[in-house]
Amino acid sequence: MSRFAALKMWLLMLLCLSLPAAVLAPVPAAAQEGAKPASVLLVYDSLGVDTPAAGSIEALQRLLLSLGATVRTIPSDHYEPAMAGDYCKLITVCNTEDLCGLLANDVAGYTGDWLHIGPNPPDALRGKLALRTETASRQSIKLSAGGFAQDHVFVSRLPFIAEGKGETYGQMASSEGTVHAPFGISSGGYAYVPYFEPGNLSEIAIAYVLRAWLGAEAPTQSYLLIRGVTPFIDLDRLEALSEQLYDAGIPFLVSVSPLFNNTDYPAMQRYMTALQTVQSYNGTVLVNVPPPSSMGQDASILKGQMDGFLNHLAEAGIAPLGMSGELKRAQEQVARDAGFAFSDTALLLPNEAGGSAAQSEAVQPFASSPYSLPAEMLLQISRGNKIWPAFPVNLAVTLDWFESEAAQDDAVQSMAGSWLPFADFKSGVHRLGSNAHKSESLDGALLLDGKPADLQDLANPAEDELTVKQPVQEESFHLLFSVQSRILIVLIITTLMLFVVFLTIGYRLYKKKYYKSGGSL
Amino acid sequence: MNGRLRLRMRIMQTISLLKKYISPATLAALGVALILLIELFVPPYIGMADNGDYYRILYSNGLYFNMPDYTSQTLGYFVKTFGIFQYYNENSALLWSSQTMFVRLSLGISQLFGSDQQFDIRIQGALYSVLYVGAVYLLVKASTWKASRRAGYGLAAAAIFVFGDIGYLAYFNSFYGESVVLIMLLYLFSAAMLLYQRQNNDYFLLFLFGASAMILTTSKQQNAPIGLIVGLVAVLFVFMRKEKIFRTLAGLQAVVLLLTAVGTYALIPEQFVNINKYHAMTRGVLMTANNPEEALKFFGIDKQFAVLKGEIYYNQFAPIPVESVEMQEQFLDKYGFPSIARYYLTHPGAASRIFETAAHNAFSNRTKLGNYEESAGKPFGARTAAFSGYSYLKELAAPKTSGFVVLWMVVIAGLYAPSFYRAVKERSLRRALRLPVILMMMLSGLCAMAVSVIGAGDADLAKHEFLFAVAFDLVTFWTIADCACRRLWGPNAKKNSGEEDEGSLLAQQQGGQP
Repeated sequence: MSRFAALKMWLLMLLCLSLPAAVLAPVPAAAQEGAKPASVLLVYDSLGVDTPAAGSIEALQRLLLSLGATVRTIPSDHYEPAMAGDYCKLITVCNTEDLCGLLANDVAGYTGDWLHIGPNPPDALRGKLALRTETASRQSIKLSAGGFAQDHVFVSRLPFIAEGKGETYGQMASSEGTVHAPFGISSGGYAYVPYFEPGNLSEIAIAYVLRAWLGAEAPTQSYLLIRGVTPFIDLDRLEALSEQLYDAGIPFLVSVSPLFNNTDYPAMQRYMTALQTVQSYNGTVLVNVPPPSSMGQDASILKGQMDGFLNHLAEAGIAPLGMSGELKRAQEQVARDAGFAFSDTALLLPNEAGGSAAQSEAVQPFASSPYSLPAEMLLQISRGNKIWPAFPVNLAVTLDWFESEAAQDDAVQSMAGSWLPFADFKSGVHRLGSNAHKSESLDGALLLDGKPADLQDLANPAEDELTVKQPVQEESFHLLFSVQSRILIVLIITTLMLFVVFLTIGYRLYKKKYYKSGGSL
Repeated sequence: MNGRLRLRMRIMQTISLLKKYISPATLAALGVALILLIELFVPPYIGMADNGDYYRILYSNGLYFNMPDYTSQTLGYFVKTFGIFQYYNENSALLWSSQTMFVRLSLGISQLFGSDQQFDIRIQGALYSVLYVGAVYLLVKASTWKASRRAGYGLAAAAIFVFGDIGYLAYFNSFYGESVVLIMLLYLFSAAMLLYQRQNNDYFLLFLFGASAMILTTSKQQNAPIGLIVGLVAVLFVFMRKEKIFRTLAGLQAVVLLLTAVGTYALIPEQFVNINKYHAMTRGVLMTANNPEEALKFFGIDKQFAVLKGEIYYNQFAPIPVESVEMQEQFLDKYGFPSIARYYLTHPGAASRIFETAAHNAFSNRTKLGNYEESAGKPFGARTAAFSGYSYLKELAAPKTSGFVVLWMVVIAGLYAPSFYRAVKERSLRRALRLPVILMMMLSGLCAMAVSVIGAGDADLAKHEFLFAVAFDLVTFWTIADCACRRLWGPNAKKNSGEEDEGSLLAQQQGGQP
């Protein structure tokens, strides 16, 4: 056999061995979509704080990350023409009409894919989309998009598309009939959305525009997420909730707070037992990355602590499938490395307190990152028939932990009666790994360290068994010290008795001294 | 032999020269002043690093952090300059404290000398230094009363060693309330002892006692119970003299002091309470309980919160944020100072454990905060070793146990009990004052210790128990002075402690002589 023939044989063998591996190895969701993540530069004129547009930039950032795009956000005054060259797509957002002109001037020379949100679209877009826009004041509009509709959305100043050329998305119609315009329009790589305010249907409508503009095609799912599960909630109620949801046929996710100290305490054991129950009722555990206190955030501390908690979960038979946390935490590289790096699945929640929207570097998307939307907002939206249309993005319908049992029952009933098609998170590919354990899901199977995770509901340990272990005292010199203290006690008592004796003798002597001298006292 | 004689002669000559021109009190005051000058006003300047508490006193008094890298120096480096607000200061008083008076006065002096953009903390240091030197003078004057030359100068040297320690003096170049506590405690004690000794005008001393007590009580919220103790001792002054005007003034003063104590407690701001409240449970009750879950049941708190045992408010990450509504409603709102005090009263085991922890930290005059400026080139958190002999000695030698604290109190009270008994028997209230004043100091110290642990667990104990450390030093110094001057026993004890003067004065008054 010649050398070439031998080489060919080797290559053939290698190919045979690598083929099954390539077929069997799970691939991240973004890779499954078969597209390289689009890189987007998001330029805004203002955050619109204390206006209806407040939170729009944050919502866009979360949507873009959920759709698998790499995003860098900057205010318009930081924009430099050279920046746009590094990104394949540009989004400009005008939240304050007075500043729109400045924003348009800043990015005037840009020629790539471009989406403008807000009034006063730049001339380049006007030309490409043959746009003519108008503005109406104080309008109550009906928004509709993708089979969803929402009535009575009050807008104080509504820019709308009077004329345009391209594919349109959704509708905006005023109750007075003066406005009847598409929600958005796109043609080629250019798109325009005149109105966007988070908190109403426009949040979902803009997702349709973004999905098309980014070219995302993967089918979407919706999940139910329970937020705010901590060791301090009523854990019995959490177990009851799991059972209720299971009975209602709703698979669900819980975002759980980690516990870092005193993990050998009964409280931790009860917490773990409750999470085991959640898992046994087809619930999926996501670990929440805690927000830092005002004393700062040391990444090395957080990483170590998170590792510890994830190991505790694994040792209790719980297989978490991802992380959850505020968007701003995932945007800070240090915090992301310390808190989110354990998994390629992350559920990004709105920021509790305002953070800086701008970033010096682009934020990479996670392989899987459903977009969180409050359940009460979704339930306000009407639809044409009972069956829910497909959402434009993977959606996590969120419910905050309930203040009372009645509120919990109501929420379960409304979810069960909503006909929302909740998917099982485990049916997707998700992985999480700590320094000692690894959990993953694949086609509905939940694996912990490569073995199927135990999904049996374990009986709650008896309360008597849950006791705080006292640290063992050092008793090496116990005998010596006890003898020493006894000797001391005897010595002190003897000394005190001697004192009394001496005092008595002294007093008598003192008295006698005067008696002898013949005088009286 | 000849050389030794000559040396002895020279010492005697020096002492007689000193006696001629400088009294022991003046010597002690000058000594402490010299240390203050060297340490606080000659480079490298000594002060104390911010532990994160400065903002409370700073912003409400028109000052701000003007160093761009200020936070990086927190805990490690002393910062001596701060910005003065040039526009309307919208920061309301975060903390009501008599310390404000001294900060404002220093700020006024700074502006008077033309420095109206930047405040140098050494101006405040100078103000405190002047007051402190006066306090040391009065203390040594009282303690060396009727002392022999040798004992007097020996005590003056001891006073310089103890009260000139950098553990105390470094506070003057800081915004901590401890500097006010130290100065006022010295004035309070000296004024009471001088009243007992009848060394100065009674009205002046009464005023000095009242003013220092008031400033002491309002300098820190934890001093509110101390105000009550001092107020009770102030009631005794009413019966010291028979003149109506003195009695009225003394009575009024006692009432004002008692009301001030109540007012100080009522004015504690919410945020301040929450930090200490959190530590009181997590680093107090939960740490000393045999079963933390049982302890939580006492307060009606969910047993799951037992996992917070040992947690601190300033932890970088927590299961739920300490400032959250959940934490407020489910944990912090469920208990307060009275319920924790009740818990310790009904759980002697836990009380003894927390007292033991408190006693362990009670003999430390120095905190772990850095003393040098960053420009001095010292490592982060470096502390000066100069003039710190007493703090080191105390930290090294003091038996840090609750038993020692009790023993110390019993021995001191026992030493002063006979003279108190005699004074009461002879109905001489002025002479009977010595023991109540000593007890006032000891109880104040003990109270500060108890308030620290009940109110904030074992967090920041070296600083919280500062008042105990000062009270311990004052009482111990005084007792040693009484022993050295033979005012407690020996053939001249009565004469040295002024009992004979008082007796002759009484005889004179009874005989109708002026």
